[in-house]
Amino acid sequence: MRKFIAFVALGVAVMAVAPATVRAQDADVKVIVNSANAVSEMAAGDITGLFLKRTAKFPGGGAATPVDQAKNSAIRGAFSKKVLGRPASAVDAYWQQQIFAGGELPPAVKASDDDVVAFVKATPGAIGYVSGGASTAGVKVVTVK
Amino acid sequence: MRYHSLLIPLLATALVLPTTAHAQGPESSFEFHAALNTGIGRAKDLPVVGIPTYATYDYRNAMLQFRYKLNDHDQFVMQLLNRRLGTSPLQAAIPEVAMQWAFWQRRGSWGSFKVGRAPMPRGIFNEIRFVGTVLPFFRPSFEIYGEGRETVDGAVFTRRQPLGNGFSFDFNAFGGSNEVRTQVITANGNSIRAFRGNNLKGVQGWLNMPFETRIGGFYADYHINSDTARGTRGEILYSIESKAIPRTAIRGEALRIYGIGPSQDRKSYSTEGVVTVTEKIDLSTQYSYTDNRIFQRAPLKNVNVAATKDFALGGTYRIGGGALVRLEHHSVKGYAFDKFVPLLSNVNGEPVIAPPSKGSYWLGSFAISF
Repeated sequence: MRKFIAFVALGVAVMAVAPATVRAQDADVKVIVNSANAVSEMAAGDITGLFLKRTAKFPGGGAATPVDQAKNSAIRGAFSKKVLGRPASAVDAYWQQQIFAGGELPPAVKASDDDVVAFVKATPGAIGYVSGGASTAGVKVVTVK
Repeated sequence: MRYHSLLIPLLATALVLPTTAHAQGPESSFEFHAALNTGIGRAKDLPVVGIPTYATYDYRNAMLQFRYKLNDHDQFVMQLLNRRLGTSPLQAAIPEVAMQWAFWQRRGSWGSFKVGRAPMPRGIFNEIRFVGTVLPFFRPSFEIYGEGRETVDGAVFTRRQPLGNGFSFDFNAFGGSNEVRTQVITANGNSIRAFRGNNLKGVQGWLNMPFETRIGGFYADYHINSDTARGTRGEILYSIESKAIPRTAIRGEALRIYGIGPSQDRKSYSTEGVVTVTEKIDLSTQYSYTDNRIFQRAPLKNVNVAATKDFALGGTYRIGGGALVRLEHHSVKGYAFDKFVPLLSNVNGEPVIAPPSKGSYWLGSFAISF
């Protein structure tokens, strides 16, 4: 019984101190789709579903091809935090879990904002994200609800 | 041992194809992934889960996974597994290198179908039970997952059904046969049993809720026809996992294994909590319990004992590049140690339960996966 109380007490104590120690990500993020895509706004939950491959289609029904940015990039960290609602490390852990459970594989990775824009421009069902200051000529910026 | 001849060329292939092999995304047909979970353990008082009272470095899970995408719907997946369990008696029942998975998979809008040797959908951790980077401890609760029951030799069907409002239901059905390995407690000591479960059939369902919470149920039964047991065994596992509170994970699982005679009925429970203190640091706690029925020969009666109580605390530090280090401490109480501990004595023909033994161990580990 004493161990059970210690178990609960430790959990409560750590939960209490945890919020103060997590850093916020401030970088700006733009979510983009191919210009032919009818989608102009999406809920963060729908974007999360596509990037975690829990769903394969846009809310309107078209097949989606998500494209990610480099693993340790600031923009990926910001996108994970702001849109996916979890730290990049949690997203990495999610993909490791999928890979070693014989499940889905993570989205393709592009090295820069320019590469993401080029891919989205050339791929009808693509969805990606770039930094706030990146040029998005030729693609459509989606409003995240 | 017979898999060495297969492992060596596969390792060589992986080494000479670094640019094409490593996780290339959907543009490449060939994918290579690997995971290593290696530990240093030392027990106090009694050896347990393969950790002796002197330090062992021979404690490891290593996996190599190869995927070949045949087209947009079909892929072939193969995974090799190397396991070292220190001084555990179970090591004798585990091959040095095993073909853990070898399956063909077809995916479509209707779901997914795997044929061959595929991971068994069972509880929260079964499919990833050896992958240290996604586990809160070196291994998931031994009381729930034990040894064996990792794969299905047969077929697995999976489908996700959206239910609206952020809810969905994951359904898995499987059939074939499977491997079972257990370290059974008897009045005379531990006994290692390795056998196949035939005529396996089972289902696993998960209700996924929008607030990062899911509730699951698993049922399977299989027929055992070994020297030590014969008959049908059933397993029921209930699971709940919630990440509703940011940076925390809470999990609970309850398992019942019954059958092979009217008196076998084992119940295990596990609960754990994980807090992500920073992006690099997790703190974890776990409490596992098994109520095990001990068999006696007539005229003695069967008795129930709390076979194992395991209380664990752990800390994880992510060092980057998909790698982490972990330190955990387990306090173990009961009768399931690697060395015989007194379990029963007889007083006037009646079984009397001996006091539980106590032990503990430290386990430091390094894990990486990509």
